[in-house]
Amino acid sequence: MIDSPMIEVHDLTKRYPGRTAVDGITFTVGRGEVVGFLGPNGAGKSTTMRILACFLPATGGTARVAGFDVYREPDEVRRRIGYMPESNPLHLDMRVREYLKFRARLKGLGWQRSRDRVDIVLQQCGLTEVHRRITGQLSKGYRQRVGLADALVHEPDLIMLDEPTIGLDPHQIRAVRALIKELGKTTTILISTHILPEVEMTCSRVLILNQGRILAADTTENLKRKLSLDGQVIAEIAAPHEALRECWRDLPEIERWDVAPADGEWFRVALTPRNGADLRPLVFAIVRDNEWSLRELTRSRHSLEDIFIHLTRQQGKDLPGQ
Amino acid sequence: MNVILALIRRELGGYFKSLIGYVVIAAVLFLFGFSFVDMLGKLNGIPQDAPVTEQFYATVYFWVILLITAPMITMRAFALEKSTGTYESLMTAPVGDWQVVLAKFGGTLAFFALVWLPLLGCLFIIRHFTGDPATLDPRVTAGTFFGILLIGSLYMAMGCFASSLTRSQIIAAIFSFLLGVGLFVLSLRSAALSPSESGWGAVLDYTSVMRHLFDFSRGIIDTRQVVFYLTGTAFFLYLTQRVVESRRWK
Amino acid sequence: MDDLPPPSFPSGRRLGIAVHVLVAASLFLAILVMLNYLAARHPLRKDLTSGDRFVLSPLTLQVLQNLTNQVRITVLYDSEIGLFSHVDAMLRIYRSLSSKITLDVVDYSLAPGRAIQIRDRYNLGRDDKDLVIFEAGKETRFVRSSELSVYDADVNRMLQGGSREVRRSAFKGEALFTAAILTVSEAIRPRVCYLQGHGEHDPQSSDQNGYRKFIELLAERNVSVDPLTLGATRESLPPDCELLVIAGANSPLEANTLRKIGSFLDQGGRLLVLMNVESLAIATGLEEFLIRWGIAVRPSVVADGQQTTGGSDVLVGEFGAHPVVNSLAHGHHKVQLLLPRTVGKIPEKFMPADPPKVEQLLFTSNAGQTKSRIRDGTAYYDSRIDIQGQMIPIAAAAEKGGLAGVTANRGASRIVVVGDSFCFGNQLIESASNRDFAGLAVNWLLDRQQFLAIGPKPIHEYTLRLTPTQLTILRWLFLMVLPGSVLLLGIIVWLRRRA
Repeated sequence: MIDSPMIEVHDLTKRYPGRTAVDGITFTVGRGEVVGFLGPNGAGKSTTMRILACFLPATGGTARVAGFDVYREPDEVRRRIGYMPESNPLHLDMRVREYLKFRARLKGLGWQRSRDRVDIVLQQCGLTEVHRRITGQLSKGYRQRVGLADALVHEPDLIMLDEPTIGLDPHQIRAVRALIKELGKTTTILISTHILPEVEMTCSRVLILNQGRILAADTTENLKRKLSLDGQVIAEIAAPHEALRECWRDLPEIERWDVAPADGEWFRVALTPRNGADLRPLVFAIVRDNEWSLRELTRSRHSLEDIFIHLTRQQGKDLPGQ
Repeated sequence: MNVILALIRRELGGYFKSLIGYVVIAAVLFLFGFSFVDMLGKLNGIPQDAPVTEQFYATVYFWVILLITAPMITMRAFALEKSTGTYESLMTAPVGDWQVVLAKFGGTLAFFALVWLPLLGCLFIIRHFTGDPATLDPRVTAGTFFGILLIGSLYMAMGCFASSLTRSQIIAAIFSFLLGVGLFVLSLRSAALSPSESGWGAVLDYTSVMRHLFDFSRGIIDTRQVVFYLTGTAFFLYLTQRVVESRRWK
Repeated sequence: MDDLPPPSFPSGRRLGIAVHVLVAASLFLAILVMLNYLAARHPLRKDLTSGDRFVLSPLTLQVLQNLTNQVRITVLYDSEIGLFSHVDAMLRIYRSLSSKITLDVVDYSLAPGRAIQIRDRYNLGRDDKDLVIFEAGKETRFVRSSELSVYDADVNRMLQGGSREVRRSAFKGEALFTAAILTVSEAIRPRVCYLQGHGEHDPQSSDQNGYRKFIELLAERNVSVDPLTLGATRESLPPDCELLVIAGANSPLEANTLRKIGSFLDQGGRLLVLMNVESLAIATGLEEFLIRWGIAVRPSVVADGQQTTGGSDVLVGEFGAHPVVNSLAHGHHKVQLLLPRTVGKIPEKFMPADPPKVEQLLFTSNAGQTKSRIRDGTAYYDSRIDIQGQMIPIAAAAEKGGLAGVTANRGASRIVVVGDSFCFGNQLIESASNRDFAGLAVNWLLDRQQFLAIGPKPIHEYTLRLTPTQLTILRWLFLMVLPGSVLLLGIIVWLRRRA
């Protein structure tokens, strides 16, 4: 079972009366990957995660975690996952350490081991100072960390976090993301979120979901590159119009270019690189060699947001990665 | 087993960390105190020969207390976890459905027993005021509390079942109250009806919880009653387990 | 992906599981019902009380096992009465031990309609209550609450100067119930003979002095009552006769008759003698006869200056210590007698050899007075021979273990003598607690030796003694202090822990 991928999902479908939450999705998550589940609210992220955590049954298809079937061997599966549900429910009347110990015992850890592990995760998640506090009196950021600590406490093979940063202030978000990034070095992680920069920052691979279907699945870099949206350079140059249009033609690094008049003698040039290369030194060199004037040179960092909007808008057309 | 113990501890802790546990204890103390003082006033100075436990426990008050507090104790069991969402984190931990059901039941029953424990003190007060150590037969007292525990376990199992069906504590409480009152009314009916030769009369008499309490409080342990409560408890726990399990296939 | 694992969630799965769950649940239910059925068929009752209050005697078990007829037991009781709990608990054990027994418990205060039905069915009076009815076939037998308890005077309290308090010390329901079941199911009717021919009360008459109601009271105990004339022709009393009643004889009994009664008693017979004022002036022969049994019937009328309603009657409120009257004493009941004669125990020195055990049953109050001078049919106080200002006995009971060998069938001989016979007449039997007294006397006389083996179950009686102050303290403690402090603790915890 060691060689089997961490998550194998094939043609998984979940139908509610009058609504299809998950519509025949197929994907695989290998060991050691940090994968982001990206999609708007109601895309089927939480449903998929709940199915993988053996909390909900699916209507059809196959789902396996660490080689175990989620329906037939739920105990094996649950032993291997650390799952933080959406909205991170905690027993708000318990103290932090008490809660984590309770959860550790629940997950089958022995008395001594649960003590040791709780100490470790308290430190890992920066909860050591608040371990005597009642969870209900903690700030949201700390509660989120308690949820994370709970997911980690039994050293699971797979950690699933459903919207781990929702409702946090930017400072807390940064702390939680840092923690996830740290964890990702050692464990397989599946994160669901509708916040794009999160995936970009923390995940090595992304699955984009919309209306129960997977629209794209690839590494973030590949996605950006495939869509050729990355590395576009905008320059505003004062130069003769003809020369400006002709000078890009022989450069192999440039795939597309576009020249549009701005005010006066200025033109606005948009250049798309072929391999995601940085075109700015090249542009500067050309301007200098031709003794033109340059008043702006920016490299637009197209983000997943663009990809996402791009994808969800034209859902059903030719989709990359599929 | 460790898992069950951890869960039971958590359940019990839940009662004492929230207002509800104290409210239930205070309510039982008040209602039982009311019945106790009332009986003391009634019996004061009049020679009695029925066992103390029968006089003070096998009363209508006991049933009022049980019928009111059983739903209050059990409504949290599943409904609260469902409404706060902790049910999801509980059920995605590697615990068996049976473990959860038994722990919930064990927690409620343990709390129920704790609620009744201080009332043993009342018996010592009676002993003090009769000035006669023989008034209190420890074995009869043990029999009475055994009976209360058995009756309690059936009512707790019914309450857990009601709680497992819904995410609303109010609905769970109402449903378990109806179940409990139903059983009680059946036994009222059997008291009014004669346990005649007809089959239904016999069945009603067999299930008459009031009658059972009378026997327990007189120090009689009857295998029929023990079997009745144990199987009744088992039945409702089984149903609860099926309901909990249904989440995985429904 | 050729080696795709089988789908986790095949189609049609839900319906299959639903059916499976339903079937399994019904099977489980069926098993549980079966377990209960088995338990109901093989009951086992364990009695935790230290007095074995609910363990039945071997004799009862034998009677119950050998039952062939259906016996219907109806309990007409107010469940608030302390005794009810004993009656109910005991009869439930009876029912659990025999499938032939059906038990019907009716609380007349909760179900008055059913109580009326039962009273109609058994021809009971409108206010008849607190009794157990045994019925099998056409036979019925009543056991009344006044018969069920054994009482003891609380000697310790009396020594401490307390009032003379009689405590209920035991419950003898088992002996009575078992006897009742046996008599109704086997139609064994003890025979009672009612002596006639000496001016006794008319057993058929409904007049105020007739004995019709007394005979009914006997019949209620499932005995057959036969009139008896002991003429010269009869050798002896019928062999199956258990009790002879001589009610108000006012002409002398023949020596022959007295001899026959004597041998009847020697064989363990039982005798109820009711004397009255009409035989004051004549010797009926019973006076002399009874001396041999340690009982003195004196030719004097008893009056009570305090306990009377009209002067000629005596309201008896003082009782001796004897099973016949203990329950009357416990309930502070009264018995009304009309111009009773003095009936007491003869002094020890005049007791015959092998003396019987004699107890005086009824007494006047301290204001008692005897009147032995008779003029114009009225008795007057005679200061030379009569006494006054003390308790004067009016009834007595004697018991003697039968002669070995001769009385094996019947056991001890028993005699009850009452100084008045009008008190059991149709009119007076309804006043005060006369009916209970009659019933208790008859019961004691009819006690069958075999059921004496069934001992009464000890009852532990206790009394709560709280002063009003203590009660108030407890009320505050239980209604305010304890619940309040728990609630306060809860609120503190809640305030400290709330988010």
